[in-house]
Amino acid sequence: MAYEKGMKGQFFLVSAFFLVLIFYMGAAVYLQPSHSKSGSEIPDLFDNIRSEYPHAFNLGLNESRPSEILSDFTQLSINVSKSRGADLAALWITTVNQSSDLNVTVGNFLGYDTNVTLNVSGSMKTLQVNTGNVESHLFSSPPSEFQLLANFNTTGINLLLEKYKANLYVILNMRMGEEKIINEEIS
Amino acid sequence: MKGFWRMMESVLAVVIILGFLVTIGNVYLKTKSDAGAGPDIYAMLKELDARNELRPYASSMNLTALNSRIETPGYNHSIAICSFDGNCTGTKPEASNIIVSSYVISGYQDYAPIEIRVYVW
Repeated sequence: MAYEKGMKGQFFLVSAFFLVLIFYMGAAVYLQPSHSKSGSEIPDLFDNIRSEYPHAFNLGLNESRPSEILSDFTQLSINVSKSRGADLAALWITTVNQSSDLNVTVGNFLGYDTNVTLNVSGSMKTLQVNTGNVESHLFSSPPSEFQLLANFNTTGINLLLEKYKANLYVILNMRMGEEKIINEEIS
Repeated sequence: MKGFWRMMESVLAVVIILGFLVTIGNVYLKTKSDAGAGPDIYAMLKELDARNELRPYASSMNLTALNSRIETPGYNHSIAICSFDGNCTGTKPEASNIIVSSYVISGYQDYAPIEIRVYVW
């Protein structure tokens, strides 16, 4: 009797142990997420968007609406990034020749308004580009190979480009928590 | 004797607490490592795109042709092609521990952005 009385607590403890074990085994099965994303998802998404810009630009040129398509693709990329928990900001500059002139277009998707100072082989123009907007300027008769200097905020770019080739410059900035990726695409 | 059983109870309590921590740790670590251990679908899709074998099939919604070009040895996979208005064509599997990889394209011959999703489990 003394033995049974002494073992009473241990019986409940062992029972509790098994109950807890069954609970955790069940939890291990049911708590696992049904879908998981690849660990390199954000760098892959960034690489995907960056390398897709030239395709979107070419499709835009084919459809004679490069700015419209680049704007749509940028907005779409921002939405896709947001759905993965990342913030994407972008600014792109295109140059397309019009007869002997050069049309330079800036798309600002940085999330804030900015001034972009353009210098095409010595001819300067400052465009005020509000966020989500596109602004253009026609530079008259630049040389067939021209230098494009562009400054916005603290960023400066210096490119040597051909007038009779459509050119695209994109700077992308993706942020997710502490992780931040910045890169450019020139085509 | 009473002290011995109290000590055993304490040992058991420690075992239960450690068991809890290890179980929770395993659940978390398994999810992380499995996600990284699967095949690199993004690299595979990028390679297909470089060979011009992705856009023609994806744009024409030819899931069979696209599916035949994706190999995931040791894993099952299925493909869905989604437009950005939320409509998807393809199979989303009903399984647990699915890794989802996606690839965005702006179009093939016309601007028609789509997302190719590959589910691996």
